[in-house]
Amino acid sequence: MNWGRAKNLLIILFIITDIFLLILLLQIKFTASQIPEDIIEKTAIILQDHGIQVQSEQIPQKRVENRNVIMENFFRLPDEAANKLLGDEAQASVSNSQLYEYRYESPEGTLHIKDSGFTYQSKKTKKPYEADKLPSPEHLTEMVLRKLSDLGFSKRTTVVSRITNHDGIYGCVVEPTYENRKIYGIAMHITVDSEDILSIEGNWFTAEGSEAYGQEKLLDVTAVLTGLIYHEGKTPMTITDISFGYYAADDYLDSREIVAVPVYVITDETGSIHVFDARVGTAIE
Amino acid sequence: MLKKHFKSIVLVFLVLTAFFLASQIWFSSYLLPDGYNYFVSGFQKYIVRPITGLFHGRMSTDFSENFQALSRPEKVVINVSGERRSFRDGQKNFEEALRLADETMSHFLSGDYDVKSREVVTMDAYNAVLRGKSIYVDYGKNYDYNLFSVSVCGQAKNRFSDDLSVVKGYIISLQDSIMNDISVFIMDQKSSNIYRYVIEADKNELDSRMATLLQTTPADHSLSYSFELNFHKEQTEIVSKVLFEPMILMELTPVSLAKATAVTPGGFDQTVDAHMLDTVLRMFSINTRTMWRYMDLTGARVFVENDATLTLYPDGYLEYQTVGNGKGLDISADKSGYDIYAATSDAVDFVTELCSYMPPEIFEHLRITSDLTNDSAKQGFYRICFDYCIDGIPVRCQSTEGQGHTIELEIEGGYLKSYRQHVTTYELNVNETLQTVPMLSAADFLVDDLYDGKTPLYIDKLSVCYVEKENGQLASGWRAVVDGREYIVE
Repeated sequence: MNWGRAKNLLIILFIITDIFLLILLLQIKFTASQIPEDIIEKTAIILQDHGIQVQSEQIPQKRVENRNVIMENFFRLPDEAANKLLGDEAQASVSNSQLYEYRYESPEGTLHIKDSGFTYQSKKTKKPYEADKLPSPEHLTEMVLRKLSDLGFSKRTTVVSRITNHDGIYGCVVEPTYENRKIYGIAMHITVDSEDILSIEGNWFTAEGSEAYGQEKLLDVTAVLTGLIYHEGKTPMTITDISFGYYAADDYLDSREIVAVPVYVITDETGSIHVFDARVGTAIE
Repeated sequence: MLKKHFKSIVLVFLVLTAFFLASQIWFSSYLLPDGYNYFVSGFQKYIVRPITGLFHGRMSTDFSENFQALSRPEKVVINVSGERRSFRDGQKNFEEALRLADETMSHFLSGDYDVKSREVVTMDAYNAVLRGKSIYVDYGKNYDYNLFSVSVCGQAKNRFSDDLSVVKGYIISLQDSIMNDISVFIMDQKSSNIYRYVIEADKNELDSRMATLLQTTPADHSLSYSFELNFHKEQTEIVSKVLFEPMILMELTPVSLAKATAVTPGGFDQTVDAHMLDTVLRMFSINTRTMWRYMDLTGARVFVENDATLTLYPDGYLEYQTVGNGKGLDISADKSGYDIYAATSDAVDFVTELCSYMPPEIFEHLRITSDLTNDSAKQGFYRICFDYCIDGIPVRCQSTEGQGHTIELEIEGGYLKSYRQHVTTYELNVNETLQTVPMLSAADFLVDDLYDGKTPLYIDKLSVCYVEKENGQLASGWRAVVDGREYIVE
């Protein structure tokens, strides 16, 4: 037996085997990460038949990994948070760890922390925008994020929305994000004038990381959409947007650490959002 | 050289690549839905647990075997010719004393001995037996007779089931006969009837084993039953503020206990490992796919399901609680005619399985310390408590509601409504001892707190216990049951 020739033959055989296995693996991975197009089209047709208008292009084709986002309460260490917002001169006037209630004051402003949320109030004199110098939404967003960053909030993981104007004093809502996906349920309501933040009210948690459940797949968005036809009050409806995000239940916002779960968020023609638990498909009211 | 072996190296590389790609396809496909966990959990289930089970034989899956381990008597008292020795679980010769009583009782209940006569006797006769040559086994709590029978002979039903329904202990008497007979005295706590069964057994052998046991056991200070000191009934010449149950063994000097400290295992605080957490969540049917989870301001980790919450507190408490109208966790296979026997069986099976994932010394030291009887007022509802016992002495844990048991379960109709466990072990320091206050001083404390000036307090039970303080140190105390309520005196 010619051992050299046998080796050549084996090398060729294994190259073919490896190529076959590689193609098979890539195919499995690709199939696992995408919802088949025909399923998406059929879903759109079923929904339309039941009075829910949606275009198949609006339905995201890419499957999303099942992962929870671990969020830490920004105010879990009240003294530290007060120093960030009010500076080193912050003095505590109330400090009750049993009731979890704290009040701080400094020349900059006041801060009231409770288990249900927090309120920050600036002591600076209001300087509303002049009518002829109103900022663009982009400019205001950039200013809010910069000022929040000065107060210790990360501007890379926040998103500003719902901007309103009341006589030159602007209001907006700031929500956290994780890997560019919005985390619903947590929000700060902010008012700003032409120079600075005037007040902040709400809850704030920062994403500390995530935990993946690789073997437990999320429901496909098509399954959740199909389930809409059985939800009372959801038809007729025109879907304007379908996105993926995370949700932290407001019942648990008085915690030190919470876990935001994956959700599908469906926006209708009225601007209302409908949130569905992506793990089981149930509606979150 | 490299050129010479080039083809071999390429061939090996290609073979390894084929294996790698095949394993990737294998684990990312539906062939093994749990991926590598399939092997990890299989290894734990089929290899690690059976091997550890060999070294900790009590953690079997057999109810009667586990129940026997969890329901050992509180004490065995042997009386021979005026000498009396009390043996507590963990003390020298306790096992031998218990074996002596158990063997006789097991043969008696199983029907191996012929019953020559059966009669109902008075309380005075019952008490008088304890002065003669006898073995008194005190369980320290009331047992449904079927459970008692299982703990002694492994069978629930036998020929005495018609006489007895609730049992707290028994006496084996060797006196008053020149025949080779012994008498077994059992009081039915429900009807208060005291039965004496005369049986044909090897009295001489039992007699000699008792004598040997007494010779090899160091003499204790003098021990007297409350009835021997007339502490059990009101006196005519003086006002009695407190009365003791006649069978309470009075410790007239302070009791010495070994010093011990709590060692909370790194299992249920923040460092809980993922495998153990998964197991605990699975045991309580908390679906990791649908649960909500958060950590409250005290650092407790809370897992929320639709009808229940499971909380792991940083100080080592594990608590499961159904919420709202939640049915609870289904722990029973058969819910028809659900009684204390079924509830105890379910509780023991559940605790055994849960503890098999914890440090083995927890289960080894657990004892059931609550009454195991049917309560006609709360049909189908049962509260069963377990305590961690050091040398047979239960440890009471500090909690927000006072001193609690190591494990407390509430079961209703076969569903677990609540479960609370203090997950910890204790480290003994045998070189240092703790002393209790004298027993009568403890009774005085109770009188100071509870005596209303008219009716004397009736102490059903007064026994030594450990009390765990917030710093994890154990203090000595007395556990008293007065008019059905429990009090801890330190």
